[in-house]
Amino acid sequence: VAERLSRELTEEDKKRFQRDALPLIDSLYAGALRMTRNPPDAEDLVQETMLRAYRSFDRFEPGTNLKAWLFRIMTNAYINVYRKRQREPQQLSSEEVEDFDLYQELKAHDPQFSETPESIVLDALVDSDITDAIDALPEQFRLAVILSDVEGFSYAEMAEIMDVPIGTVMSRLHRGRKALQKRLWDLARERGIVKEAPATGRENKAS
Amino acid sequence: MNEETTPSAPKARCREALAQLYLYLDGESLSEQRRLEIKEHLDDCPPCGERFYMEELVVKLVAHAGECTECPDSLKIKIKNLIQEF
Repeated sequence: VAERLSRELTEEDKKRFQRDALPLIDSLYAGALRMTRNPPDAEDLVQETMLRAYRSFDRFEPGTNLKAWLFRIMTNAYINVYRKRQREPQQLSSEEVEDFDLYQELKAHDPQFSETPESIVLDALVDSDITDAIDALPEQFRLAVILSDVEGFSYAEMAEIMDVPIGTVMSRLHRGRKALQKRLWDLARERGIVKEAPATGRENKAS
Repeated sequence: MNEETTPSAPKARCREALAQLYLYLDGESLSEQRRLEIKEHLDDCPPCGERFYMEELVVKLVAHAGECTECPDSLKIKIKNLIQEF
């Protein structure tokens, strides 16, 4: 960690880094925690990212997107260092993911869903269910979902951060969201929020 | 009255809207005109409206779960100090 600066930053650069980059630590940490899936590695990753960014801050072009620049550094650091230590979640069969349709499942199991814009199933899930579902995604899908839905980056920014074409960003995000929905549905079933099979025959209203 | 459209054979407008679902929800490159057409379709077609709503809901759940994560103060202080040392 204690690598030396190859070149001195100007006083102005240092002030700018403190003013503009340090407030982005919460965003970086949220992303890092979902990438690494554990707090000690997330802390290491954020620290490593901030030091790398500080050392090369003279190469950041003022006026461009600092948050995207930091996430590019962090994503590279994660891919090169941290993921090697970690066990990846089991890969999902793409058929299983592609055929899954959360909307149809909710329509069949969630009586409230078609009547009001509410879902008792989705409402019953808590934040830790959501983060568990993200954590269960294979890496490339997980990165796309984190960058888009946790961090709010545009497709163009994500393409820059992940160093892939926009078409690849879109397909990873699409499949990532599908896989996430499947995982949420599986969690809802495991937790008994929905029963195994939809009620057949006449509609039973809960009394 | 014409035959009802069966769920297994969605109308062309539904298909076109669904193909652009994420572009629409993510605020990505769609013309104003196209955005308006999709919005009108969602108002006219409850199944598409519900489907878009559900997708938006899941994205919001993910965003919310992320927002609740705060960096520990100890790490912020550590990074601030490391940077000042340089």
